[in-house]
Amino acid sequence: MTDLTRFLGAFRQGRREEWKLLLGGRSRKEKSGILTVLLVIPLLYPAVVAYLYHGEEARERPALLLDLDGSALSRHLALELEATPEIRIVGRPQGLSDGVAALRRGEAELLVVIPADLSRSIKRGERAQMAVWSTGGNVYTWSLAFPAASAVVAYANAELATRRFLAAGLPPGVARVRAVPIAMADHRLFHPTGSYGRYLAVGVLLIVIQQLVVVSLAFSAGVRRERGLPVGAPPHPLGQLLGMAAAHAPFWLGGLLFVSCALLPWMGWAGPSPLAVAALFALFVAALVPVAVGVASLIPDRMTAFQTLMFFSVPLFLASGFTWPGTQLPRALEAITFVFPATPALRALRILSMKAGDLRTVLPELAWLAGQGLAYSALAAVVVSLTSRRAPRDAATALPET
Amino acid sequence: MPTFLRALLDQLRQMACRRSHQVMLALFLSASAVSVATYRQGAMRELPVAVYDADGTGLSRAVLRAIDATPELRVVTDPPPTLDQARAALVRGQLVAAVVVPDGFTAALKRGRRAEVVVAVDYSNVLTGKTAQRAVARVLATVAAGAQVSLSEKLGAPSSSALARVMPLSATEALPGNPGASYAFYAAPGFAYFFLHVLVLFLTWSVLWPPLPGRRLRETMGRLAACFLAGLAAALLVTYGILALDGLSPASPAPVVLAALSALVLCDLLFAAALGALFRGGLLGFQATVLLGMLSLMLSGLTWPWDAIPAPLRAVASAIPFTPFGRALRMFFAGEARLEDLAVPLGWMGAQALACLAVIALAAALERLAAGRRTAGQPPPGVQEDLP
Repeated sequence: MTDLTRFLGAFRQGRREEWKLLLGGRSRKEKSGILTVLLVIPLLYPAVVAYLYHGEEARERPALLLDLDGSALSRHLALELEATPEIRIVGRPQGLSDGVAALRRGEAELLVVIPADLSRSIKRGERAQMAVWSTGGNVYTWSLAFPAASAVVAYANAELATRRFLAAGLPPGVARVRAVPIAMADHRLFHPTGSYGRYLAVGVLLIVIQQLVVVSLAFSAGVRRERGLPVGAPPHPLGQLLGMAAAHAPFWLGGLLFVSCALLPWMGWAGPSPLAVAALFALFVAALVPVAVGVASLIPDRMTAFQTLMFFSVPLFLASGFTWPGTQLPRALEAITFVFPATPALRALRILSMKAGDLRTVLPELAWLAGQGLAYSALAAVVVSLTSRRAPRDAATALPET
Repeated sequence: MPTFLRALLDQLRQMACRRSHQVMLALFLSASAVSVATYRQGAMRELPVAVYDADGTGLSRAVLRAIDATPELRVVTDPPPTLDQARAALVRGQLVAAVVVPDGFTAALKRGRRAEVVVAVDYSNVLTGKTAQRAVARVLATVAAGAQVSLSEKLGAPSSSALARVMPLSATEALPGNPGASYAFYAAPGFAYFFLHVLVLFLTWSVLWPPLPGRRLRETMGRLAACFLAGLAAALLVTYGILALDGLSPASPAPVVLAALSALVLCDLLFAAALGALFRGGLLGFQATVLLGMLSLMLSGLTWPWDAIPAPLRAVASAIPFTPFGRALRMFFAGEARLEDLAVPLGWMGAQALACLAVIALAAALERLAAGRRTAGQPPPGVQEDLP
């Protein structure tokens, strides 16, 4: 019997057994739970993520306004603050300590303090400061609210400077230009709204697909080992594991099609070419299969599958360079993330989902992914071979459980 | 030795000796360390920017130097020669922004016409895009203020008050809990404690699953107490080890921190036990715990504001212990909080604990009832023996 024949035989057997395991069992105890994993991860997680971020951006951050001046100018500033889409005045505390206490209680995210001598200082030709406080240290909401407050101040400055120049005898048109002498023509490329949802959720969905592939196969291996069924067994251990993967493949394919061809376009997150994004997802899954096979050959039971693999998703996402740029990571960490398929896939996804619909743009990342796929295939073959040799020895030397 | 203590010690021994537990603990520590290390830098630094100076005057060169002098940006010395290549560099992420100072910039400023600077920012990454845009805007605002002051002086304002006349107002930022608006401070503790939360859920399930119907309550309690102790030890290791190594430490006194962490570990334990009881110790309960555990960070309000989360998801999140802990975390980490300051989140966790206990008690009562019915339906032992 040739090696290919043995491989094909083991592959078919593995696939057949896996289908039985997926669909078999009537009672709660007989059911393996693999089908739940294969359906819940690709359907429920993406739906929840999309629903969570469908608002795209958090607006109207709750703010407290402490107007100690009570002048026409301070009231004008208050109205301008209220008019921004980023800030919503939710209360006016009696004093600074009241305001800070309310911030600490979480009743608002910002405290805007207009000092008592604001109007008088400006009339005297002195500078005045409007203070914006936040105690929680939430950088995201701060990055929305503080620029909005700064823009209100800049607008008020322009108005006041225009009045000064008019008073100094400049014609109105010139005074207005002199009050804002430099204009910044601001072009937000690739993602003009700058919304948080589109920026973040696409990457999260790719990680969901990664977890689907790796966890489902590992979970299945756990079920088999708990039931005394073979995992990576002779005559061709790798063939049998790939057969198991083949039984899962329709679900993986369904999951990635649901995410890349249905959910992302529906949410408006697919970018210039949904097909290019779907192709990237498919290549990513292909690169992950040897990883999943290698991991599955090591997993002893169902609980270990979750206990170990669930700790991978968040760090891989954070350190991939998708949200926090790779250049800003510690060198050692950047080097570690180099070996994980999520890193090139997420970097390519950033480009394809927002910047360009052409796969040629991400050729370096695809080559990187392909290299990882080959390296992991070789590694998986070695790991499966070692574990399949060790398994009978372990079984022979195992002591009965007490 | 009493059953409780024996079970506690046995569970602790298992945690230390079982390979799956060792791997899980190692992964928990690695995941926490990686997440904390990711944000070590705290803020964006030296983002690459191309500046095209078509004006070539002293002022335009000053703009270039001022952009390069900001801590956030670094002007690349060999920018792409054409706009097409600059765009390609923006697509590939090699540049974060391209700034064009057009010909006639200084002349326009001097003649009283509005000068314009074109800034194209890669907004595909919101964090880098906003940082670059704000840094360039700050530089241009400073240059504009200089031009206004110069004009104001020419119009007769004394130099001591010229700035106050053209820019009388300023907005000062005060983030006492996070002075540098550092992402390390904002994100790292949340992620580290999220892994702790997942760890405690898994530890609890290692006691509950597979279910052993004959196990005595005292033994289960002993094993869960071991999970509590292990969880608390992991929590302290995260707080005073992993986070402290990166210079992040809670501003509140240790007893307050310990109280919040104990509440999280205890509530997580009861939460997992309640889900176990709800699904009668079955696999579905474990899967539901994993599902809710993994979603808990996104739904907690730590990364995405609570009021921006859709109401049905908020309702789900309200039942997860990590949500009120997230509130407590913001309080005890950013500022010097007392126990009474944490009354709301701790009270919330207390309510969750009571609800979990009620679910466990109800499930146990129903189980006992069902067992009683099964026993009542069976024939007496003697009769059973007589059956063929």
